Amino acid sequence: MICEMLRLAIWGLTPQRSEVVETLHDFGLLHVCSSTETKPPSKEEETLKFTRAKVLGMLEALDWKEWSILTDETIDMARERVDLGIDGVVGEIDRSLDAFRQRLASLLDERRRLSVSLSELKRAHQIVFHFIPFVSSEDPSERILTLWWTKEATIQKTLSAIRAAIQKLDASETGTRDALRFHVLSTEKEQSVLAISVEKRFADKAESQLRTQGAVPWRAPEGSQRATTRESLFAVEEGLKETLTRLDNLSEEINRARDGWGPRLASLYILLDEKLEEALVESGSQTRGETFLIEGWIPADSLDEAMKLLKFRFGDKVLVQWRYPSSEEWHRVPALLSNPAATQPFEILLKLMPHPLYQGVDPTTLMAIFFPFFSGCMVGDAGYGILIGLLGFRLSRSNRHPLLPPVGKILLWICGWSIAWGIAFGEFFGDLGHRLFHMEPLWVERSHAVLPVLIFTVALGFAHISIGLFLGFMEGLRKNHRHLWMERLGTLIVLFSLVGLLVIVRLKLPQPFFSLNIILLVIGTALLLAGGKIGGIIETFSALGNVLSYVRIAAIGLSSAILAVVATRFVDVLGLSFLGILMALVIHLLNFVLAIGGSGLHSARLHYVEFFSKFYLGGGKEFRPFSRRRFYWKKPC
Amino acid sequence: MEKALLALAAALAIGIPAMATAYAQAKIGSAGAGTVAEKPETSGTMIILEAIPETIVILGFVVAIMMILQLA
Repeated sequence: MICEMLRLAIWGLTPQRSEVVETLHDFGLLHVCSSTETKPPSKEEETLKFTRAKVLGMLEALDWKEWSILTDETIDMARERVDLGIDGVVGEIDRSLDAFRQRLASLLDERRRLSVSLSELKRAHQIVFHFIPFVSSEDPSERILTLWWTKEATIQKTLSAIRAAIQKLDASETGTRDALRFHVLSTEKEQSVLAISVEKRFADKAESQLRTQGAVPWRAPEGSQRATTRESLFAVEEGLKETLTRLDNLSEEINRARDGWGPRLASLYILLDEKLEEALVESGSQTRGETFLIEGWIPADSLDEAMKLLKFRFGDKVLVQWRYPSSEEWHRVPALLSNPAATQPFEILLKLMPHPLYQGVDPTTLMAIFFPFFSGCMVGDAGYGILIGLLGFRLSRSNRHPLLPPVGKILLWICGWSIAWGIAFGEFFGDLGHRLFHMEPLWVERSHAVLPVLIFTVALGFAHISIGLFLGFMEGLRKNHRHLWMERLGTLIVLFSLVGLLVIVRLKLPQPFFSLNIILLVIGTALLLAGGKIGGIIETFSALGNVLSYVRIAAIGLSSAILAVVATRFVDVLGLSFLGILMALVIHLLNFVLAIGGSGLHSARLHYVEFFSKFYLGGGKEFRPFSRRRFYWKKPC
Repeated sequence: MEKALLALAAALAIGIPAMATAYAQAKIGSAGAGTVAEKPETSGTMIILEAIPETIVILGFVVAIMMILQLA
């Protein structure tokens, strides 16, 4: 149901405004209406917004995302620590953050620098890794080793030139062959790295030849450059190991900072957000001379509590007035859904629809009745029902996400109906129940008797749509929408008379029944034409289509039942072997996932498309009380 | 022969609407995904739009079942 709301007006003296706003914030049940005139943001609001952005920026720099672990206690502790005015809070936060901000900035800077250095070292290491065996085989006391970037096409020419130059200095054939040793590594874009090892006496000649041929000396990354190429190559390997260790240590330090500071910063963010909200309510209140006025909507059953609190805190210094909303105001009144604990989880299914209007219909209870009933009928298997129950039990106790407990409770409802329908259809993991303990259907075996289930689902659809049309008719009457109530009543009468005609023809009932039905049909058609003209007639055909759409309950149930039987047949075909049992389990798992997903989706669709279209009017305002942040703080956008 | 034709008709009665529904849902789905990415608050409307073409295949299923029952 939708809570009755009252318009509350709180008058007081301007010096006490902050205190009143803070009291209302603690009270947390007033949907504040800000004044319509637009004011430029005050200096305080700007400061709070700026500080809040700084804190959020630090949280993002820390990469902290664990908003769901924040509890009321964490936030209350932070609140007690900085229980000051706005300037005090901002000053305190700025002071406490300054040291951490510098430390964090230096840590992040070092990580960035090390990451750049690591990528350079990794590139260099690819070359080092290739040349290390060659370098190790060369004697550094007698030979000089150098690395050169060169074009792949010029390597042979360069080597010939070096050989020729060496030969000029030492004419002996043996001397020339041993004097030059080389190794080549091809890299991207036709570039190669050429390692040249020559005797010390030929080093200058070889270098001049390489430069003449356009080769460029290879250099180790900064920090790994040494006097000789050989030393540089080993320095790269050492540098890579050292950088990786330093990065690991740094990451650990940042993780420690994230775990330690993340929740504190997040609590501060929430505090700042609350302070900003208070500042906005203060600036949004109307000021008349020395007095201020705060207006808002409050649930009728919380009025006494609010009056007592304000009286206790401010005595006669604050004047409180209240009134019921007028019918012209209904579209502006926020709608607060209030349902018993058992049906409350189904409110999340309404989140996908526009919010209901105040004085509209809250379909939560009806969804709590029909949604699990339809889903259970589609699953229709006691075994799957037990699994759904276990899953629902686990989710209903989870606190990883605020949506999980209500989803878990909805699954528990579906579990109950799945088991009930499973008993009716005699299904326990398909025909496993029948094989193991001779389970027999209480009603029909749906994989064999398709027609009774089809007829039942159409009857179910007829009943569901009729309830929808009746609610639409009542809505039309209540809001004095003549077209709406006439059209809904006309459709309802036409549907009933068509079903009546079908029954009369089938059971061959006497003539007066037939005449009565024809009269009903004429009245219904007249109402339809009066309410919606030709559109009304089309609406009736659409309602007939809607009723037939409920056949999907039988269709999905049938496919699920057959798949479950097929899963068990794998054991028949492959025997009681590992493969047979594995295949059966895989098919059952697939069927279970399809059963949960398909039944939920189609059941929701039957409500959203077929049922709600008959009466539900969205477009209402959600009740957003001016309150402190509570458990499950949502990550800011 | 008559049985074979009935079976073929039943197959067509569900097969053709299934293909048509798949085509329509593919079009709506891709457009819907883009819309939800831009405006997450439209997700409810998108689910409804995505679900609308399914009715055709359900009606096809009813027709096919009627034919199969005649066959039996």
